[in-house]
Amino acid sequence: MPETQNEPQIEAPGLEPSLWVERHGSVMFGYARLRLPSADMAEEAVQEALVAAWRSRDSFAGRSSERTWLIGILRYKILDALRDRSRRFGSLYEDGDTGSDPYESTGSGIAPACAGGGDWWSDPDASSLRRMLREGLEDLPEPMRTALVLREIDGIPGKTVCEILGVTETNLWTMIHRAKSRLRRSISEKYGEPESEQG
Amino acid sequence: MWLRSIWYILTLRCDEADRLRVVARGGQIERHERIAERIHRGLCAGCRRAAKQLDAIDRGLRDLGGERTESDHVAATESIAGLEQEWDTVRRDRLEAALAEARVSDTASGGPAPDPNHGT
Repeated sequence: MPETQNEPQIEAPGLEPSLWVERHGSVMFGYARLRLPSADMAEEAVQEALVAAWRSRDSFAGRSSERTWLIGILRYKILDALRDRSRRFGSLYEDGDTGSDPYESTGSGIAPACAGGGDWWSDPDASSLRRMLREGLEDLPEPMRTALVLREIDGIPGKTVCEILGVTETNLWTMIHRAKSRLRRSISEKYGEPESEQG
Repeated sequence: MWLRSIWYILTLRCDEADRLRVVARGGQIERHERIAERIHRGLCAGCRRAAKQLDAIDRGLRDLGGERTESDHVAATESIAGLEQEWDTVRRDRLEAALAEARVSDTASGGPAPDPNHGT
């Protein structure tokens, strides 16, 4: 961890800025990466969050842990980055560009999820379900993943997600539908029984 | 109008029923669509299974969001191995350098600026 000769001596109680990157860097990066479309954007958001945290360190009241406080700041930076992206590049996800889905209808009228998938869903314990979902989320393409994470994991209202991503509500729900279909399919392929066609 | 609704209910396909189930959770569907999905689900074993899978996924996603506690943040991020691989020493060093620079320049200019957005 690089130290400078001008290392500040006075820090807010409970905060250790000199250890922020070492202690929380990878978690903050992972948090941002799950919500942003590239590793570079995630790094930039983490950097902005750390600098903002340093500048507002006096506002840390110690009611939450250092990490929770940093993640809270990072959350604002992530949403700012997404808003800025959709402002600069326009409605990136419009014109039906909600992410192509190879699992989309085959024309038979039978939803892929309808075709089997074992019984992973019947009574999974919380930790296995989390593991399966984490693996599935990793494989989700953009912008499906961002839409799903913001709406379903972070619990941000649909209208706000639309404003952040610059999409219509119809497009948002199309992305979420496709994302969930993919999650269901990938979990079924990995943890379910071999599929058999049904209707 | 009601004839169209009945026709919609009778001809609903599995893939459309699947879409309706997801969209319904955001409150975005009409009454006749909700009825059609329920009737279709009652008749189609595959869609009943698909609905249960969707319930499990929704439950799991809510669980990942959790109570926004520290451990949930870790669970939702740190263990995503593929994303973790993109975290490396180069990125870490860049972040260390950026933070060190901010600390030095801020100390030289006389202390922290209040940030009204971030008072937790």
